[in-house]
Amino acid sequence: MSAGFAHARTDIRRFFLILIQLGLLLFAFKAYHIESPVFLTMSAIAFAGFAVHYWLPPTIKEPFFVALSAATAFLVLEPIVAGLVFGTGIVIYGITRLPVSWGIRCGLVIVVAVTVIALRSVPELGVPSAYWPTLGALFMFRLAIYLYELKHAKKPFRFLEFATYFFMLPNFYFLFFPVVDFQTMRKGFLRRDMNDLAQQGIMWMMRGTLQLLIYRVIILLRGSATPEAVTTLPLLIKNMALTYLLYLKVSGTFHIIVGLLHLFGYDLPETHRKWAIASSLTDFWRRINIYWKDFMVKMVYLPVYFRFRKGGELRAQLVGTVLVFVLTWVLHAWQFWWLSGKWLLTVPDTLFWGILGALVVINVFKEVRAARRKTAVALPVRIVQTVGTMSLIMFLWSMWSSPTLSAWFELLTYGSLSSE
Amino acid sequence: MSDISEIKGRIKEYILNEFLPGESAGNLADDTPLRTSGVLDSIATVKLVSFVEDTYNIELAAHETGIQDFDRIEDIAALVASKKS
Repeated sequence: MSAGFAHARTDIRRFFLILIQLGLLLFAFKAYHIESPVFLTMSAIAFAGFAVHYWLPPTIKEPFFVALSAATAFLVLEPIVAGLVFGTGIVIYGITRLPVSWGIRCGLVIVVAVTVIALRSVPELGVPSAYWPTLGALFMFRLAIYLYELKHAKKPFRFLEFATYFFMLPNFYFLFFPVVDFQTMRKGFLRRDMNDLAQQGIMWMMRGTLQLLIYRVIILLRGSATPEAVTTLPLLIKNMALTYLLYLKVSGTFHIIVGLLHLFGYDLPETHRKWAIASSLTDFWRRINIYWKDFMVKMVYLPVYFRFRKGGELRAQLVGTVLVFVLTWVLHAWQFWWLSGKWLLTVPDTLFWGILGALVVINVFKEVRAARRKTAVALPVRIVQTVGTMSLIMFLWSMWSSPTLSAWFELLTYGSLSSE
Repeated sequence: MSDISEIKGRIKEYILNEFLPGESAGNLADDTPLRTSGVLDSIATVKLVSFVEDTYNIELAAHETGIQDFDRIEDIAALVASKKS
């Protein structure tokens, strides 16, 4: 019996317990108007799908997940958009299965990507505007991971593996989506007991829902601390803290997304880990949007490190870290283009990634040079480190959130620049 | 003790000494996620890479140190064993 089969044992008592919790979650989504009515529809489909998926034999579970995701796509998107997205996906899969070298397949995928990008500026084609952000949400990062894995794979990936990875049910609603790793997803399928997985998924969805509710409170509180209303230092601090906490929207939705995928047997790691209590900038980078950090480590940091390490460990790690931040800045602009149609290349954005990158590089330099073992830090020291880190992050975050650098200076000087 | 058990033991000992000082060995299982749970960051990962390469006289490639093969002691030990044979 394979591990997957052993972990797919049904338990009627736990099944009903999970179902009751999902019912309560759905009630909370509706009662508190979480997200939008489309989200409620998607959640209802996903939870009903779970009730069927649970009883299916392990070999049928993934095909069912793909079918359910496809049905959801056609329900929450315009059918023409869903059809075009699946069509493009099938073309990409066909290219990756061509009996030619990996380099040629990769080149052909890039040709398709460039063509799609160019077509966005031709509105006469009549392609629905929702096509590009949806396509981008599915492929803009995960395709790079898939091609990387394909290069090192001993055999080509099956269509089912492709479809489960790219056509994930929640991605048809949440376009801003965590960069799920292909191998982590494949290896995580039914790695643990499916009842435990579903239960953890529910806990994460509850955590995400709670964060979205707190986010709503933050929005209300922030109403009295808008940049225009900042006239004193306490109001400035309040504005900065609340602006930073707006990030709860991202961490909340990411917890819901990954929790939902747990219902279908995917044992994925958490996307954020207590990011508001980071004790250093390096610690912050490791806690916030963990999937992005792992994506960068896999695709940039480790390949660069292995290429340069013969010339010295420190140099290899520093070059890797610098490139991670340069590419993070560029890829955020790339993501913004897919989701909104505009390039995000503002001065505050550039400065934010530049300063954060430089500070993390200094931290990495210190950590590698020190080359000493980790030691436990006393609580008071840890508190001071955390408060200091959070203050710095909030300061930088307020700059990042400002439309222009001068708007940020206006905020810091309580608007005195414009009044002079 | 089998080869793979010996590899697991040495890796576990190294991780406990180097990255989890004061932690009980019982809290670090062979299937405990190391990177996806935050035990190992990127700097710690490359330290562990150097340790297994030096200890077992093997050479790893970048793609072999991804989360799929380098997140749990049991996976790392299996990778090392396959490289040794």
